[in-house]
Amino acid sequence: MSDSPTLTIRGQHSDDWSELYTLWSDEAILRESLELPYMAEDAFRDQANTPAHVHVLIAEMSSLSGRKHIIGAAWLSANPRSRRRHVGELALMVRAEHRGTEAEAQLVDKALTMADQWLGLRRVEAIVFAANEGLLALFESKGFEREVLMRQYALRDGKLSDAVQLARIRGEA
Amino acid sequence: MSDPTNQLDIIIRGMDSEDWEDSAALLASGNVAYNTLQLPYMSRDYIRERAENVPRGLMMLAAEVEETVVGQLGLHRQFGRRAH
Repeated sequence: MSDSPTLTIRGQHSDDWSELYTLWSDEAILRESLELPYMAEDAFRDQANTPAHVHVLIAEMSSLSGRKHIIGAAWLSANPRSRRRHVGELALMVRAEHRGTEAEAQLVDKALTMADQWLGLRRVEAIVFAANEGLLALFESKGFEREVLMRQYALRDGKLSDAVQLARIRGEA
Repeated sequence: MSDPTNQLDIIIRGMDSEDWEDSAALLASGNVAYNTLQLPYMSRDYIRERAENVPRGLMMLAAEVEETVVGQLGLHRQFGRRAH
């Protein structure tokens, strides 16, 4: 109907690693993560072979011309420990220009559908830097609640920065 | 012996892989498993293997009383942007 780009949320392809590597070279992305810059390319390629309990959702935009590019990804890690099998951890990485958009919200929705409808998780956890207000607001709008403020959680912009642990209990949201 | 205010001689030391049998007994005793994320009925082989392959960044301490490990703890070091 429109000439706007369309969003696809899909699983990871083996040849995504080079585009994901570009994503991880983006300072705005790195800042909100726990990763370091200047990641070795081949170490990254190996890392892209994610273990079976980690589910990767790729958010890809395609323009009318058919060009596709990855704008973000979500990692949903099901906890492998027996007594925490009902728990998953959600990590989200979205390019700065797509934050706060419907695309980002859809990525979270799909990840939560995966958690609820396919993996049967009861509790999904997320850790977000306290200064990342946009992402905190998005998670809260999807039923996450703030549980803990973790002080001096990790280096961000050269400062030891606080982070918030959130969780969403299925059926309570 | 040496400390009159304390009946027990307690030694705090690094944990050795040979401590694995004490570790298994500890885990099977009282409500130890209950208060951790461990399961009951753990295989001794698994406990032994874990004691023999302590991952990098994990420091294990043992509290020994009368030649038996009665307590243990793990100090997990973080890396990169959480190395502090």
